Amino acid sequence: MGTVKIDHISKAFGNNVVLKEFNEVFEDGEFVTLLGPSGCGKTTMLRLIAGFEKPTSGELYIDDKLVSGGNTFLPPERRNIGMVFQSYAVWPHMNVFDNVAYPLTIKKRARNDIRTSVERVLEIVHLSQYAGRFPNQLSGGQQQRIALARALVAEPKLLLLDEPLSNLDAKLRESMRFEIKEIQRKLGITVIYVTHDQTEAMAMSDRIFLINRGVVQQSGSPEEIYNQPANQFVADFLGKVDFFKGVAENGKITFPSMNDQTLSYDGPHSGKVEVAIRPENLYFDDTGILRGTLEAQYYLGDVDDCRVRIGNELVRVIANGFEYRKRKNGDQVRLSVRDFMVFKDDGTLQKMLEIQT
Amino acid sequence: MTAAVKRIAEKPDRRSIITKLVLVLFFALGLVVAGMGISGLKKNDATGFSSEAGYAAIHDLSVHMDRVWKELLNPLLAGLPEEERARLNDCAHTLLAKVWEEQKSGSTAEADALLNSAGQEREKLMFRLLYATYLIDGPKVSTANRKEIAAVPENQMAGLREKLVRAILDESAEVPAEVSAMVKGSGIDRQAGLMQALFVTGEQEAKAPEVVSHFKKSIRDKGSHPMAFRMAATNEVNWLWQLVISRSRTFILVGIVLALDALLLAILMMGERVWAFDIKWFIILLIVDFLLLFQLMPLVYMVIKAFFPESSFSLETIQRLYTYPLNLNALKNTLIASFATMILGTILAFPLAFLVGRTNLYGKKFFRALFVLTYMVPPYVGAMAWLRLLNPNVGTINLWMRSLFHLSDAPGPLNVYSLPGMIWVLTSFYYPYAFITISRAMEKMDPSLEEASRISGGTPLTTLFTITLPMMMPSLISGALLVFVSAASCYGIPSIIGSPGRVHTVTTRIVEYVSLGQQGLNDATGMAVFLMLLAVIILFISDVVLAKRQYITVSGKSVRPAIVDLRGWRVPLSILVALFAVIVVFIPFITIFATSFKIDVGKSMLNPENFTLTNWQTVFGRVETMNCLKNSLIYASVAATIGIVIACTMSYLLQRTRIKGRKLPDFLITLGSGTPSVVIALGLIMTMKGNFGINIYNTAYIMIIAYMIKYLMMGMRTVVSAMSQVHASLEECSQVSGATWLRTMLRITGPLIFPSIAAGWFLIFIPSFYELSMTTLLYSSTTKTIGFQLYEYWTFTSQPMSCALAFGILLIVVVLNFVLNRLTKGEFSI
Repeated sequence: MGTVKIDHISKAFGNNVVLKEFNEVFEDGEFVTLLGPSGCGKTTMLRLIAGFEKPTSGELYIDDKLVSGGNTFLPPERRNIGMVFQSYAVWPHMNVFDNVAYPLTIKKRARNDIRTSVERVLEIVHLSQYAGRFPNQLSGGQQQRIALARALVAEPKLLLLDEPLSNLDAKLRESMRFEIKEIQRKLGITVIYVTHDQTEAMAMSDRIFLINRGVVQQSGSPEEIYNQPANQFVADFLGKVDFFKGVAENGKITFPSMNDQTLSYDGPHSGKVEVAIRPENLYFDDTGILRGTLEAQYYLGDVDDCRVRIGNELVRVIANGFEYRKRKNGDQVRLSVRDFMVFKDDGTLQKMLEIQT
Repeated sequence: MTAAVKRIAEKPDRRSIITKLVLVLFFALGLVVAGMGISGLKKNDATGFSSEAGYAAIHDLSVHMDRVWKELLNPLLAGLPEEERARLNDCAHTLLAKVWEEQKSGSTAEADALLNSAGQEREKLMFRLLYATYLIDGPKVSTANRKEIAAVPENQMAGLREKLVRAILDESAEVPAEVSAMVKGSGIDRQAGLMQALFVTGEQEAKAPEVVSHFKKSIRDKGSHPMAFRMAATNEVNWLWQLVISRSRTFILVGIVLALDALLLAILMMGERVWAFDIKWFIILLIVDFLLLFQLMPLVYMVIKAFFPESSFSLETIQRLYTYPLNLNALKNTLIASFATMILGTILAFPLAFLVGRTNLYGKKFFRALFVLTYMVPPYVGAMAWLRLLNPNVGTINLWMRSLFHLSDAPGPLNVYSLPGMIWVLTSFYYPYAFITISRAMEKMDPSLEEASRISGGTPLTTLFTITLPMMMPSLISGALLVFVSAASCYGIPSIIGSPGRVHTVTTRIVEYVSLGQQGLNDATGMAVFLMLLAVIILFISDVVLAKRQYITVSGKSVRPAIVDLRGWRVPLSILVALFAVIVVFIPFITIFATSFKIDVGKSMLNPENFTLTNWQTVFGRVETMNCLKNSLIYASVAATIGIVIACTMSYLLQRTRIKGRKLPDFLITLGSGTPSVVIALGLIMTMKGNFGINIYNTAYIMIIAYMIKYLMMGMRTVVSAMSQVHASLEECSQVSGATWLRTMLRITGPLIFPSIAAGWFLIFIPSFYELSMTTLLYSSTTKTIGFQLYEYWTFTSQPMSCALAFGILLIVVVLNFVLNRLTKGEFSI
């Protein structure tokens, strides 16, 4: 078992509410990512699960056992959780073996058992030959693996990872991403992963919880939340997107800022709307319905990142890299749209975006 | 193009040759100057004057004599008829022979031999010799007589001189009224008086006594007077020689320093492989020279003196000192007291630092400020307070305990005049050193290190012992060692508490020895070497050994330490800490305050018959107190200002340059602050009284220098750490924007680190302001400071008055702290 049930949990530091009514169940063996901009409350949620913070209200169950809530509070050492910290938190005064063996030493396991377990887990993180070294003799990536080994050694059913890759360089980050995912798959444990990096979240997660200002904006598989964002914030946070204001009526959307050009639309919204278009969903097409002038091209190798002027708007289009020579700045072009998202324009979400940027 | 390439290739080559040439030149100049000094010293040895200053006196005399000869004697003699001139010459000859015989200055034969060898210059030489002898060794002319002659109007002076010459040549001629007091007897005695009066008419009123006193002070041995007179009369000592000989030791010193600097520069340049002058090196050299002269030289000299008391190796001094029971006892006391203080202080400091820094203790911010503030209180003030509280006869706590437990009126039960008493007071004033070190490290520690232990299954207590404590160990040890060294080198507390109870320590013994004169100084050295060794060893341990085990580094992220919930323990522990604060901080301060209003220290202040303001009025109404206060303020300001300039320079060198050799002054500054105060002062006394070419003994300079050596590091560390926070890119950005280096420093770096500069200034100023240990050894009657004044009041005058003064000092320190806090917008307070 490794389920976590979060029952209407809120957390405030003084008057500052950082989590509002978090209500969710994480299933056994699931890889869950809490994603959001810094200060959104995702780390607080993780620390609530670990037991470093007490919820202001609500209840928390791990494996159907109440651990926080009401008068019950189980301290971290009694929750049987593995955790990897952003700063690795490997103890500089112990060597690698002692660092990893610590959770078992605390549990007063037999010395031979400890040795076997530590060797096994060091094998998993590829650190077997470094057991006698001290942390300051190892690289950042290796310290990261010590932290991971230490979190895994006591065979917890639940593993918490707090931005574990943010201090590593890009290449290492990418390879560690797959290693962590691989380990999770092998051991079949529940992982709760906190990050502000959407690529990490997309690559590893079974389910992503996108959080902003203490509120879950949307949860779902990576594909779901990328393609069917619940609101403008989600659309904006994941991937690239441009927003255009328009009016939906009679089966089409008219864009006043684009010289009243239109897109056909048969969705549920009518009246004032905001249309989100991802630049990779626009393509140059001689029979396209949007007409404009090519204003700039940025050649990036695999893609050709273009800006097309339509009325008062500057629309971003990501074309294939090999098309670069076909067009030049100042050309009159036509664009077709593969897919776009329509949201009701009620003003409040616009405000939210402003705060976020 | 080829020309350009050639120029580029040639330019550094030519420059490096010039640089090397200049270096060699400087080195040679240094050797020449030192050589001049040495030859001057040798020449002086040959003449046997007791002091090299003799040559300056001789030069002084001959200049003075030249004037008298040119303005008075030469025109006078030339104006006389031939026959009278010859008679006057004969008379002078007789007088010279007589005065030399009388004063045992030399024999007639000697004088004759000298005069005969002079040939044509005989007359000039004779009169000059006579003049010199009369002026220095002859019958003293009183100031009143001089004044009377000087009072003669200018236009009548010629007449007076003529009358005097007449009277010398003619026994029957009348002695002028103005000089009658000087002329006694008849015949040759009368002539002597008249001749002297004649000489006096040619002098400027004030100049002669000055020349005389200079001469007598510089050439004490009367046997060398004739030689000195001859040298003065023949103008043998010209201005250059007198300069070289009278300052021969200074010449040697300057020469050696010059040569050494040239050598050091050469080594530095060789290391960098750049043969060009860099202004930074001169700055480093300037600081290094200062530290070498005033810090290292005294220390080295003391070690040499201790082991080579009579210029050959001998352990006799050391052996004699440490077999003397009193000294052995002092040694034992110092070690026991310091060790006990270290243990006690650390045991107190660690839990306090933990409770205040890492738990939800009530009022922890207040307690933190309070414990840190104790650090700024002069230790001797604390000693005074505890003496009032724990005096076996009339101590407040003793009186209170006796009445509470119905004990007899016998002294006790507690006695501050004892080793345990001293340990208690030392602890209560040095535990903040450990507290500050430990709490700083604790606040810097990454809280996730502890959280990792909790999530691994460790309880808070397990975590404390397996993670927190081991991680703190390096800071804990260095804090403890700091307490040890501070307690061992403390003078204020043992002198106030230990001395009356005959609990001697090494520091009090050193100060006692110093007051015993030359032999005492040698013995003090033997004691000081022990203290110095102790400090150096501990400095080595904490800096070199522990630095390698330093785990805690400042991370870029701001760390918010995890707060441990004390739960049920919160109230009792808060009460306990409050109680500690009351005992260690409030009761002593209140005692000082209360005592300052008492007439009889044994009775309560609240008793109206025992309440008085006169203590305050007397102390602060006295001119002397104000003078001492002024001295303290001036010396501390000067020390702090020069110190902070050095600190800023050093910070720049350490933080912004990769220049080789920048660690050298840093090391010396660290060594200086680790050296016990008493040792610094003693070293300065032994080397700065002219025997090495620098004479600043008994001046304000020696005190300012001592303060700087001791407290410079505190200022430097503050500025260095501030500068390390200012990323170099901020400066580079400003320079790229077109600002000059100076402008960048003034507009960007300066404002950013200003709070730390201000804090650094105060960190040097405050301890210098109330300094006692070094001042006790270095003060003179005109350079007393407020700390020493307080000590005098306590020891010799009255305890209530000294308490008034002590409270005044405390107020000043608190006000300064407040100013600092305001100045740095709350970022710093001490």
